Amino acid sequence: MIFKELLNYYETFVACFSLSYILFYIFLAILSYTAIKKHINTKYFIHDDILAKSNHVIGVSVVAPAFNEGANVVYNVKSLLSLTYPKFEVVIVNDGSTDDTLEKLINEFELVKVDFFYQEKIETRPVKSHYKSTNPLYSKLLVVDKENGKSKADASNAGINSTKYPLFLCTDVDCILKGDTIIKLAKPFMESEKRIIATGAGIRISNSCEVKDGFLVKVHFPSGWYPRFQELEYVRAFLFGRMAWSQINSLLLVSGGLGMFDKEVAIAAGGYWHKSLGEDMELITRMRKHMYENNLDFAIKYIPESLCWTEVPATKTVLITQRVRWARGLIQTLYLHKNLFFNRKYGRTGFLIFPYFFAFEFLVPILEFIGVIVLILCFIFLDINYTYFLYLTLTVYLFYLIITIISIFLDDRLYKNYANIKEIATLILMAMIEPIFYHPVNVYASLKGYLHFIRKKEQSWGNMQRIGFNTQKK
Amino acid sequence: MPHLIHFILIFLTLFFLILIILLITNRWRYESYKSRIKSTKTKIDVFLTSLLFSFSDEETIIADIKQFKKEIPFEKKWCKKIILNEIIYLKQNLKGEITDNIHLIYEQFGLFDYTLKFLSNKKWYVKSLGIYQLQTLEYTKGQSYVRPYLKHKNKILVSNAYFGLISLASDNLDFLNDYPDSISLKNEIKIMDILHSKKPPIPNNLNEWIVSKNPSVVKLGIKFMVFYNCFNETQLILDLLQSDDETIRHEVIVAVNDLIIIGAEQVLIDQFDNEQKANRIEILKSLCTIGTIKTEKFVHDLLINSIDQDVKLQAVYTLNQLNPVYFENAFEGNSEITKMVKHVKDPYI
Repeated sequence: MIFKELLNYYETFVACFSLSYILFYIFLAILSYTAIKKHINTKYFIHDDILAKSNHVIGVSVVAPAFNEGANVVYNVKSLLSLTYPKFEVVIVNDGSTDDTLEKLINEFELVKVDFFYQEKIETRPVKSHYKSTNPLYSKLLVVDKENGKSKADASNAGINSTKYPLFLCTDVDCILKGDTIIKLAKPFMESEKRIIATGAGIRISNSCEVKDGFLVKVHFPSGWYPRFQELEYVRAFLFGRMAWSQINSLLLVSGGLGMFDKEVAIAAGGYWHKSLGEDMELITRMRKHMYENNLDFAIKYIPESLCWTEVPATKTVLITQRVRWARGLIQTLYLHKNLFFNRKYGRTGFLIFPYFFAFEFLVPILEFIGVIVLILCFIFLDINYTYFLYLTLTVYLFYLIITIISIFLDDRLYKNYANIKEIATLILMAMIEPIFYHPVNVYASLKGYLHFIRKKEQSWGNMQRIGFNTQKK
Repeated sequence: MPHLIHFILIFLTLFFLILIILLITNRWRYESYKSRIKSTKTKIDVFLTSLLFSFSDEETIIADIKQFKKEIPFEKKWCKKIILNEIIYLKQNLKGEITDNIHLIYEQFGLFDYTLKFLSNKKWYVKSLGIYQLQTLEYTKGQSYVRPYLKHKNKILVSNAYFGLISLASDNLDFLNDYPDSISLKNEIKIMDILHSKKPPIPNNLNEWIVSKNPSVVKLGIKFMVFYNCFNETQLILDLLQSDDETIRHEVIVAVNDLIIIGAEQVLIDQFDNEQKANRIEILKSLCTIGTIKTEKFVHDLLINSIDQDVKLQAVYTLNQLNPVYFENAFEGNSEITKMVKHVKDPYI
């Protein structure tokens, strides 16, 4: 009897929760459509080549931490140095690598130690030295050698402290950026009436792409199961979710792989938090807080274009490790900034973004897990209307699927990122099986991440095991 | 409730199927048109390039275009779009007399009418596209079609119209004085690009610009004065250091550097304490150019009294620029300044 009564309450809660979830996603879909349309409508105004040759643009420092990246670091740095922008530098932070990362950089780029006046605006592990090239060809390169800080955040902070320009672009040294990435990301800083504090853009999967000397030669559709599932996830997250949040100036996440920031605000906010496992989200949260607390009007913009290609986990084990870290980062940020919840001082961050992340990002894996247990119990102990159950399940499944297909549709209509109909058909099939095969893995990883947070398990740099690109022979 | 769920399920299923069909057909259409579009584009590329490089007379060009229109699916919108894009591309990438016939080609393909259709469209962003086409082609005959939008209710369209007109009516930029809004850095860059590429005559009302109520126009006025080397107006520019607007004062400080206004040294030194960090650094940069022994003394005191490391580092740069041997006897025992000097003097930084 009590079980049934509890079940009734549970049913009502789940129904309300699901309905609000669905309504929220419809709302996001409308926002995303509006944002993309706005981006397309306003693009015919200034040509990138005007910015590319102007001396009046805002300077940008590209910060890329490297930890044991000896295998590819030279090619990757060359790729970063080849970006198109009239005023930029590349700051590589060697975070106490135990391999030959630094030696390779010194030899290839003819580096020498310099008397760099280092200002520790954000506290980091000690910086050992700075290196610059004696070859004018690499004058844009600065290498920072520091003690390992067990986190990408600490390395990024040392890089930020060493930058000379007012904007910095944070990326991973193994990410492949499109040639005009800096122009595209810096443009909103130069055109908005509001102060832009950060910009981001789409990230795609490079697992099966052809790469030569750090340059993307040909984009290929991912071949493995897990990269393909992640392709779906990325398209959905970047084109659908983040564009929508950007439209209402509510972005809470600019990826660590590709994000441009206002240095002054980032430093005032305290930089990346070295103990965070979701340092990108945590930084944005603190930057938002800083702006609210100082009554400064601001915006964070997102660009619906793919500007960065990165290798994603190709196996279940690596994927779970990554997602455990992400989940732990999420709960850590929500917990650390719990004072934001429904706090008038923090505007929509407190009333919309944080509650959304709590309810629809943090809670969902927990509710899904409880749901499975309840279902099993119901199958055993109660007389269930299987037709009704099937209808409900199919409704949720179809809704999920529709969201994914809309994202693929938008992506294909706008950018034609896929080579042919076969690839699109494959993606559709992957989307159909994603909720059954891939989603449970994510739920498991999220729960594990939450558990690690509660148990305060020791954290590390979170380096992903890489298989490497389809490197073309010279 | 079950009926509602049943209904929603049917709706979602239909919607899903429609989406799949749309996705596949959209791609299929693209695939099937792709080769046709590609071959037409190649034909257009070859035709336009050879037409421009042949330096033919007007009659031959008209006849050639008439004949070429029969060889391509000219009535199709995508075809017109390709021709127009190609003409714009050539206009942007070719210089000199070779581009003399571009406007004739544009007209003979009937593309001016095509552009006018964009301008008469109800949607502001389609109108903006029309302005963009006229602007990039520098089709001055089109300026009367753009002017009405200077007072449109849509701010973005107004902005596009103003900046479009800079290209179309560069012989007289007086109208910029009436620009109603703030001008973003991106737009400033665009204006400066036009200024450098077209070198239009100096606006007649430039003195009005720098007393405009719109700070953006004032800043633009200062930039124009720098571009035209208006040395006679230096006092007028320096007076703007009393402006309440920090960005205007910043522009003045930059102008002092660009115009090398030697007499402004004391003015900048006096202004230093009234400014925030960014303008202070800019003052130190300008003093690099116009500074004398007076600046050396000022910077010396600043290095002793200031606590902001960014400002101090720039101060060291300035002092090093003015007198590279200054540090040989000064600041001994001051480890912070010594480190800064080493940084500034390092040849590779």
